[in-house]
Amino acid sequence: MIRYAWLIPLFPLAGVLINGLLGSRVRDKAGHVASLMAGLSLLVVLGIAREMILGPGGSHVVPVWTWITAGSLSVSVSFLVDPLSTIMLLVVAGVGFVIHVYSIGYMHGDPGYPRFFTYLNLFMLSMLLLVMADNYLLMFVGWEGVGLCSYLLIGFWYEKQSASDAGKKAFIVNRIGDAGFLLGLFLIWTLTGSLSYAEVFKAAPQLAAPAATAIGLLLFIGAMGKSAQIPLYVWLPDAMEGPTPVSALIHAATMVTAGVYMVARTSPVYVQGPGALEVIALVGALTAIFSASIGLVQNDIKRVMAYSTVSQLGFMFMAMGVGAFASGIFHLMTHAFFKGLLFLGAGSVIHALHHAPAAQQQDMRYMGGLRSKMPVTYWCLVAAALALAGVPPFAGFWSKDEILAGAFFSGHYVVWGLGTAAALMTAFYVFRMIFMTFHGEMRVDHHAREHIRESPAVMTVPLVILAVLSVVGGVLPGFPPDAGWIHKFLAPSLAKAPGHAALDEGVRVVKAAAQAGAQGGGHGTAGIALIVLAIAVALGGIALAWRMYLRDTAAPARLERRFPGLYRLLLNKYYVDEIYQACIVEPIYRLMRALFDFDQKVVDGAVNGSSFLTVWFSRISGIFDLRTVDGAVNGTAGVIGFFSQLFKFIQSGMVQNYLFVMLLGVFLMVSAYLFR
Amino acid sequence: MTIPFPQIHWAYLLPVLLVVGGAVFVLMWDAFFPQRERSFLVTLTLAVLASALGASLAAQPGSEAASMGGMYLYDGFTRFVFALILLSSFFSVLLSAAQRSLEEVPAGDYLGLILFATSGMMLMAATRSLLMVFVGLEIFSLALYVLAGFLRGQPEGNEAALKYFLLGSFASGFLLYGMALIFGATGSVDLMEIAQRLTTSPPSRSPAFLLGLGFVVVGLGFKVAAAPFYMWTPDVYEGSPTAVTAFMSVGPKVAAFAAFFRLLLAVGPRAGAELDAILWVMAVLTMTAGNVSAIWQSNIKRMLAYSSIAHAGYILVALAAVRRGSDLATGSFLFYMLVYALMNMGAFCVVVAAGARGEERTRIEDYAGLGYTRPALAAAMALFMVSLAGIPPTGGFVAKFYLFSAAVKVGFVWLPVIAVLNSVVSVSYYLRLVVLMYMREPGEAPARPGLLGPGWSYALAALVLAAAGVLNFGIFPSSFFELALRSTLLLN
Amino acid sequence: MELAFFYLFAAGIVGASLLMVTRANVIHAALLLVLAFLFMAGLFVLAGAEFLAGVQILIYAGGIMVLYLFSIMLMNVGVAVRLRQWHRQSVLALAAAVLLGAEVWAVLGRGGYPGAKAWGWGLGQTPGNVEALGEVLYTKFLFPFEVASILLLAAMIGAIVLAKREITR
Repeated sequence: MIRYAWLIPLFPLAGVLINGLLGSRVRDKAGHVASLMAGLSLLVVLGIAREMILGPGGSHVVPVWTWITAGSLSVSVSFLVDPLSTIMLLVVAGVGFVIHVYSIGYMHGDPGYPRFFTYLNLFMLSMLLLVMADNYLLMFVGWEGVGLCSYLLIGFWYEKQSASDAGKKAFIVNRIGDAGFLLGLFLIWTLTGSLSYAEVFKAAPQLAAPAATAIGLLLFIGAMGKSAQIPLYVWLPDAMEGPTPVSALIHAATMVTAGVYMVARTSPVYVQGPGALEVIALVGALTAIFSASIGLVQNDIKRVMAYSTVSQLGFMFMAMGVGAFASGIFHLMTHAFFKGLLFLGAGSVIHALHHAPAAQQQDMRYMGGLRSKMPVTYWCLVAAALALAGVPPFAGFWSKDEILAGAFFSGHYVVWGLGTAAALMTAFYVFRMIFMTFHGEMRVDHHAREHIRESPAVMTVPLVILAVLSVVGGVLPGFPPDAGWIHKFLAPSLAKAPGHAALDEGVRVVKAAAQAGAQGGGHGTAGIALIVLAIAVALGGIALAWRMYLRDTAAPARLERRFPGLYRLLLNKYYVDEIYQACIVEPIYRLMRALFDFDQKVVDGAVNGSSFLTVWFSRISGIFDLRTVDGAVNGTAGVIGFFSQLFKFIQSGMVQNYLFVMLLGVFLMVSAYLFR
Repeated sequence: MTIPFPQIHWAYLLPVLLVVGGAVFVLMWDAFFPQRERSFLVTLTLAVLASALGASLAAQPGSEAASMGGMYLYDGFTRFVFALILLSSFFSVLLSAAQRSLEEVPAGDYLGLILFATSGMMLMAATRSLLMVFVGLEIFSLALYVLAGFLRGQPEGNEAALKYFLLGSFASGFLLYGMALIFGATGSVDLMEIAQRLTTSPPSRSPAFLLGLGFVVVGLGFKVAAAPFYMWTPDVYEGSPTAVTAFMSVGPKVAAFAAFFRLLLAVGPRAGAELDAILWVMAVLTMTAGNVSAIWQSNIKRMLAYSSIAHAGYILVALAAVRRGSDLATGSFLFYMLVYALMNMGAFCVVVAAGARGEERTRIEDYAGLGYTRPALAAAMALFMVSLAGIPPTGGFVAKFYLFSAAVKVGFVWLPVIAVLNSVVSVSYYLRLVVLMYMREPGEAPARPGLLGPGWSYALAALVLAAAGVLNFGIFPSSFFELALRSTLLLN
Repeated sequence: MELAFFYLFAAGIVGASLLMVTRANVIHAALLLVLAFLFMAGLFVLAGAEFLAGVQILIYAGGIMVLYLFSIMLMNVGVAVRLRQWHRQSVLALAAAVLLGAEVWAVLGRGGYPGAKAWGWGLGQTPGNVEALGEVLYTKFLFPFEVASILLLAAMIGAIVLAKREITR
């Protein structure tokens, strides 16, 4: 089966071609075509995964063709099937398929229906390429592709100004990241002479620490852009302008985790340059707490999720940074389940409220009490929220706790502290969301009330599937902690961080503790304490949310009055957008404007000059036109025109300006000789 | 006394002879049978170009590559460059036939001038002699000056022609002065002899030679639109008929860059570090100026003009690498030019085809909603834009990759970095057009159907050819790149 | 002696050219151009290139100049002569020209040519060089010589195209 891996991206490609070229013909069938293709891909993925998991595993390269050769460099289009890419394939194809199906219901009746599914399939294609590539260049192809699709899908409802602005923002921020990524690729190639994983990793141990750190940091710039880390996270919250299935698939479950995947994939290089890992750990931790704190006060249901996603991505990078690569990928997987579910659930709520005024559809202040009307959505979301909050035995608990334990035992106490605080906030904001949306009294607009009903099966079935995964997706592969199936499975793909010897020690402690805990024994080690603390933090956050939003509903307003500055700071997301606007966007914009004005003037000058030139040319022709004797007589007026226009023309200084610039260039060039 | 008659290899000369002969024939035919249909002349010209292409592909460069003492040089490089030039001429003839506003012009004159320009470019590229470089350059320049102003009714065209002419003569003056200085310093106009004398004779780096080289760089830099000699480009590209603009954006650049490469391959390693610095600064300035200016353009021809400036900047990166003695750089230049010719011609072809129902569409705003009114055309444009932006899996990405890696290979650090950053910036204006086509409602009611001009089939042919090429070179580039690399073997 | 003549002719060229570009009357300017051409022919004689000197006088001073004058008269420059053609950018232009000239001079001053004679091109070795020129032109430079005819043809067609379309309109 593994040798048919090339089929996996082929099906979405077929979907793109069918929907893209025959969009007007397939029309309402576009969703079914796209879902079918995603489903076929998933089938192949499942077949491969079965072989990888039940069989001996290992790393297989499926060559397709030699793409680029240049001297000693040879890059081929070939797919790598190893444990890491298997897990990623399962996540991408699995969640992708579920969301394709969900979109059939959600996007029903949208005028851009075929276009939407074309983009969605294109996204699948690119994302699959990204995770299956066996070299960095092909990964970059996917990397660019998912960026492009994200841009197209954020701006999908292009009539909305905010949507197209958000698309632009995502695009620009991602370009900054991509530049770093590309430069990292060039550096890899210069230093190791290859771009294929196998050869780069073979050469990696010979890399000097500064070189590996430089590569690591450049690649991490790319990851910061794609995976929304400080300071490049600003695009992700705005990306919620896109349709909700897109937010679930691209901006929560898959694309934004590409950076995490890339770092994990590059782990053999990263471990050579510990400096880069330290930076990643710190950036991850800061991002986690920073965006979690913003999430505390947001009122837009999707924005809460967006900041939550940024925060959870921070957790994943924290894991990478402290060397707990497997835990990071584990969290990536569980996060894909529960965050995808949270978004789809939110989408289901928004879908139910689509008769409410546009400004209220996503505002949690205008929801409440939906539990009885949408029971399936409610229970699914509760499962997801418990998973996100980190309550055992839901999926998020296992992966998040591992990351925090990893940070603690590798000696990153600051990172651990920040992470634990962020976990508390996480539990709080997600249950604040649940309570504001589903509990309490109904604050929905009266017109919209009677239209609220549970979403159709095509939407709720995906919710239930993801809910099941959110419940069992952590404990099945991840128990016991740090020694579960997923860790053993992933181990061959990931490097061991040598500078983090303490980590292994810690892992053993946690493992022992967890085993002891599972057996009901009571070895009072640090591991047990950590687990207890993590559970306490999760439950504490939930309890706090319950107290503030269900029992004492006046509490939020009181707090708001007592700390008005802090509240506004959080509500306005620390004013980061405004700061960027003032410090970066505005100056660049002014510079561009100035350049443009220069060009504008030149153009105007050209138009002024043109009338003269017409006259001029007609004069020249007049010279040749010897038959027209009276031409000279008639021409007199024209000649006056010609010279006065010439005068004007020269004064406007068009050609002269150009010549002057040329001369200046020559002057400088000769100076280069003279003053050397 | 007996005069030794120079040896002539007719098989090698055949492509040029075909083009020149074709030019004369087209002119004569139009003079004697002016009532014949235009399409006949177009077909004839296409046939001439195709047969010249066939002749140059058939003529295998052998050991006696140098004819007439290096005045005419037929090596692998020449062969590849001939193919590029003939390809670009082929495309521009197709575009000319498709362009509505060119329907009324006298076809014989127009096509004759295109063929003359083609022959000039070929001669310029296929020589070791500075003298021939100049003559070839003047042949195509003169033809292009006239072609730029071919639409007399449009004042912008006249302006373009005059501006191009004035500035072009100025640049030619520099070129000629530089050649004279080089001749004065080395006593030869033959690049091989010059290179030899630079190594053997004591004053190997005489200031006169370096200055002359600098002036030649100015002259050639003007033709390839390198900063700071690029300022004519947007005005001239905007004012010329679109088909001519397409021709100008590819053909002359190929020829001038080919001469540039030959020059640097021969004398570059001995020209000293000053040239390094000059090329470095030129490359950075050119691509930055091109990309930054392109962002704000509202006219698509101006935007493409700035884009072509930026691409010249990327190629200058390869040029700098060649000076440091990189074979890879020459090969990647040839490959880049091949891809660039296809994607640029393709983009201009869309501009022509979009205006095929009457009014030319030159404002970028005109392309809003093209994805709904003319989906196939918009898809092609999107492909070319993506390729120009250097996004995989198109040829533009692979070509850029080769080019920049050649620079990396010879030890440039910041130059490829700046180039990469530049190409990152460039994506914004290329994709702006794509977004406009797909993410905006069409500005006005779609043009009446069925009003396609008779040239539609030509545009279609050009589009299909360009799109297929761009995709092919993006997905299966290896064999062609190998070919480009092999073409540089005989160079030294 | 030779040097004195060189400076005389050189000064003549520069002076005549300067006068030419500052004249308001186009006909005066054209006649001054003839003067500059004549001085240039003198320079050619000094360099031992009699043939070029002859060609210079015959073609430039003779043929091309007549064409210029003919065109100017047809264009009826009576009005034009009264218009000032001097403009404010002249200072800038002058500065650029002087600066660049000085710079070029400074570079060349660092070490001139190794001497054209050193390369022994055959020119200037025999008293009459017309024969030598002819030989070179028809052997070594036969190809450019022939190709120049394409250049002339293209230029001619270009000029005709520019003129003709006005007629057909």
